[in-house]
Parts: sequence; C-alpha cells; structure tokens
Amino acid sequence: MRGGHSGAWLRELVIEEGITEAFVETDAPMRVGFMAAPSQFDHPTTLLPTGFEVKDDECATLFQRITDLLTLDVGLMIISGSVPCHSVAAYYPKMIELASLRGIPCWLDAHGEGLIEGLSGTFPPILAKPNREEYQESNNWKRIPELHITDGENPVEVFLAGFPAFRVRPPEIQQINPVGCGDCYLGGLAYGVMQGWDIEDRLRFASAAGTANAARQDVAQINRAEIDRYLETVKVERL
Amino acid sequence: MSKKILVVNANPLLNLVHEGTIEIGVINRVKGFGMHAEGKGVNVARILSRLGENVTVTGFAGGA
Repeated sequence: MRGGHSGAWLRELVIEEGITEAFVETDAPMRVGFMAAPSQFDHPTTLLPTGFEVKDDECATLFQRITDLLTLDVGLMIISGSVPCHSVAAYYPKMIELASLRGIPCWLDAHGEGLIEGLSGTFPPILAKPNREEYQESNNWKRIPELHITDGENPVEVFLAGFPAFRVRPPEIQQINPVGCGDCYLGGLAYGVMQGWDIEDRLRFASAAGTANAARQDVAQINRAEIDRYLETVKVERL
Repeated sequence: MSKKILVVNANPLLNLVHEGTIEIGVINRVKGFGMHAEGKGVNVARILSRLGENVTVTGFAGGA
C-alpha cells in the first residue's frame, strides 16, 4: 500500500460507473475535498486541496501508461483538469504531442500551469474550453482549431480557426449548483463528436448537458433524459 | 465496436459531500457524507459512460 486508501476508493467509484480505470499509483495520497451543498444557495461551500506531490518516476509511469493506452483504438483523448504539482505540467504538451503524432485528436480543458504548458507545445490541442478567467491566463489561443469560451450562465463563444463562429445561449433556469457544468458541457461535446454530429447539434447537446447539471445539487451526475429536456431551448446563433 | 475515449485526469478528487448547511466555529452533527469521485476528467468520463461511450480514465490516484 502506498499513499493510503483514498485512491482505492476513487477507483471503486469510477469502476461502478462503467468506466475503465487506469490510474497510476503514487506515494502521496490523492486529494480529498469537502463540499457542503445546501439547496437554498446557488453555490456550495467547498474545501478543495490544490494537489499532491508526484515524483519524476511516477510522471514517467503515467506517460508510458498513456502511450500504451493510445494503441487501443482510441478515437479521442481529453486532458482535463489541473495538475497536482509543478512537475506534472511539463508533461501536458508531451501528452498532446503523443496523441497528435498518432493522429488522435486531443482536447485540453485545464487551468493554471497545466493550461499554460499545454498550449505552448509543438502541437496545439484540437479543442480547448477555457472559462473567461482561464482565457485571460494565456494569449496562445489562436492556434486552437476549436475554442469554446464559457462564462457561467452567459452564452458560450465558439471560435473556429481563430474566428468567431457561434454564440450558444443556454436555457434560463433556476440554478442550484454550477460546479461541474463545464465538465458536462465538454462531455456533451465529446459525445456529439463520437456520434458524428455536426457542430450545431454538438453545441446544442453540450449546452443542454451543462444546464442539466446546473439544475441539480450534485456534481456531474446527470443522465440522458435530463439533457434531452433542455435541447429545444438552447439557442445556437451562427456569427 | 466504436472507438474508445481516453480521459487524462492528473489531479482527481475524492469529494466528501454534505447536502445541507454548515456553521463555522461549532460542531456540525450530520447524518453522513456522500463520497463522490470527482475532478474535471472523472466528471467528463462519468457523463460519457452514462451516455454509453467506452471510456478509460487515467491519471494519478495514490492509495491502493
């Protein structure tokens, strides 16, 4: 046993969802957070550790793991989230390069060091989804073929090849918890790509997924029926 | 068989969730916590899996 038992718990929960887990073990325990989500507020109270230490050999193991996984008929790779510590950030551009050289599209949804490093490599991610604040963290966005800038309950601005292309206005709802809306939006986009949908249908589905999440107290626990409920009221405007 | 989606979540989160209010500076007695697998990538992977996609998630998760 390394790093306590928190990783084992995470793995169990991930497997229960039908996801294949391929996490890399670390000496340091993974982060454990706390969220109090009373229904009468529109944002929960959270205690969120920023990360944990990862050793060089553990970074190398993850890189090798990804190299191996990319041989298994992968159609899309998504790098999502922050880095647990400084040393991991340098691997983000390497991961993007790894996928790109194999002809596998790679998306990036990160902030802080992971975002800065991920955008500075030889190969840009095919798609990125910064929120307004994250967008200000870099001026390296022009290279991204498909850029989605989210802004809470406000419309999502979509740029294709550096040019404004779409504005996506989510339905108006009574927001309960916005945490995880961006993740549901990204999941919706990825689902649309895997289905071969055109971009307007992808945008509509992604926005409906983000909205469905905001209407719930928990984080990213939505299902298909909840997404479908909002599809008709998403407004996709071509610019 | 459709292609797989690989999600990299370097910094996942195990989240203890209390669905109610808390008060600072006192003992808050609660029924219990929900334990949720989170982090941006894990969230994305869960949505995709629920939609029927074949998803693998990797990253760091200390604690065997």
